[in-house]
Amino acid sequence: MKNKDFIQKIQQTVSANGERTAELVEMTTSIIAKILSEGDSLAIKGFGTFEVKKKEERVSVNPATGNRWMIPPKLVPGFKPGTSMKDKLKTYSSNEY
Amino acid sequence: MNTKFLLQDLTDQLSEQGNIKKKDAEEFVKSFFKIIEDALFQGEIVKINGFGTFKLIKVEPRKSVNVSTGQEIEIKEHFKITFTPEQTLKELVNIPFSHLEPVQLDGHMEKELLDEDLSDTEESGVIEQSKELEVDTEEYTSTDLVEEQTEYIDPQPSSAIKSKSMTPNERETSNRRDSEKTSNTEKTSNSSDNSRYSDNKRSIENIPNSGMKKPIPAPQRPSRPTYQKPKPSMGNVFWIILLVIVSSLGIWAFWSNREAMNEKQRKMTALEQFNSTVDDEGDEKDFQITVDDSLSVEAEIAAKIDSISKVDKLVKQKEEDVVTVTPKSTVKIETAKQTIKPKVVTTAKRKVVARTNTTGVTFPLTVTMGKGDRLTMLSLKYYGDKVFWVYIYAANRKLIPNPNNVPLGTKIRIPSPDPSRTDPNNPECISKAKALQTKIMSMLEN
Repeated sequence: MKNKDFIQKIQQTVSANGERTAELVEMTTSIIAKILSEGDSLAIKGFGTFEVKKKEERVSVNPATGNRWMIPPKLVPGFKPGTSMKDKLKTYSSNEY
Repeated sequence: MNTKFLLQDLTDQLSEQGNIKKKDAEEFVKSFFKIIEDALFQGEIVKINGFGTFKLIKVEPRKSVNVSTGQEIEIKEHFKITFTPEQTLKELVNIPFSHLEPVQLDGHMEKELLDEDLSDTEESGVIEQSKELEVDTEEYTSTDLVEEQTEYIDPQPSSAIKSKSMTPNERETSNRRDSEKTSNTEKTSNSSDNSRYSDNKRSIENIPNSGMKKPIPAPQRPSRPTYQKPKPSMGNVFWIILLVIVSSLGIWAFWSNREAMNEKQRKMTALEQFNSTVDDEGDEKDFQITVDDSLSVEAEIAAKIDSISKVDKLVKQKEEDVVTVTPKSTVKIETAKQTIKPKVVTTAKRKVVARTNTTGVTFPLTVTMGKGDRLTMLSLKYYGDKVFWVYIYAANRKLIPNPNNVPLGTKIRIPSPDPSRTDPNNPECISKAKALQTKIMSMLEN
């Protein structure tokens, strides 16, 4: 599902026109991004948690050349599914098989 | 920082920014996530611009162990949600560290540092040994290091012979390998090493024995140095040498088969108490082992010296054979000839001398690697400079797959210091050792 389809779907549930919906979606994501960029996390009940993880620095070796690189530490946005989501995932798997 | 926001906070901010009622904002946000969820469970991938992609991925079933009970359980196939942030979001989040860039580390410098670090925390686990690496080092040392040694060592053979001997483990493994692979070059270089080793062993009493004792005169043994020719550098010359080695091996194999028969007979008569079961394959092994046994068996010495002089003749004979077979390398073999005779004689001498003088702390030493020991420190202790670890490594390379991490308890042989090579005050020696060091390191890296 692409961004366009996603906006269309939201538009159906929320009574607003397409442009406005797109605007709101963008706004929502930018708010989440802002929260994450400040190092905070956002927990959505029934869905999951958006959070920032820190990856420590490490030494990486290019297997082809044998060159060694020091990769600096970095912050990475991540998502952890919530409990209700996990339960659904379980049933989803068992439904399939 | 580290504040945990909830759905409420999101809707509040949205209503503020988007100028909509809080109720509408809440409804919007809820449907936002509901749609994502629904789409995911329909097996779709949800991509939201400026944010990221949600995806369901299948996790294959796998076996695991219950940590508390130790029972084996199977984790069933299941699905999990992944969120892949878009590049823009990633960059936004990573702003605090955005100024950092990957830095390439200087390979050699870092290697040396690692060498120190690793050996500090040496563990007994043996590092997996890659076959290729092994073969590489084999070639390298047998052509370069070892032959370099013989070259200038020959003038003073008593110390030279010491510096090339091996520890029992090494010999065992090399024997095994020899019988498994029939790598000719390896065989010859090993056996020549081994022959020296046996001499050496007599002078060092405290070497734990490999358990393969069989007193058999070794007429064959001293002839092996034939295969080593002095050689200053690798390259084309190496291939010529290889040719010589291969051809001389062929001759030797033929010759040794005949010799083995004679030997067996003599063995049986001279030493009745030993029931030696010499099969054709075991011939080589037997020859190598003989010397340390003769240590214990008095009467044998005489017989052995006999056999050595006998070998002397044989060596000459053989050399002539070699010369005829490979006329290309005649010059090389002639030089080798000159060196072989004194060697054979000195081995004989050493045998007698070493019997009386076995307790003296002389080189070569055998050192058991303890905690915190490393090749560089051993080198510093015995030679006066760290960089000469390369020679220790060269002498023990079969025991040490990785010089950066030598397993605990490894018995390292320290070759005798040689003023022409391991002089810490001679810049030439140091630069030579350093060149070797970079060579070894680059080989390990590849």
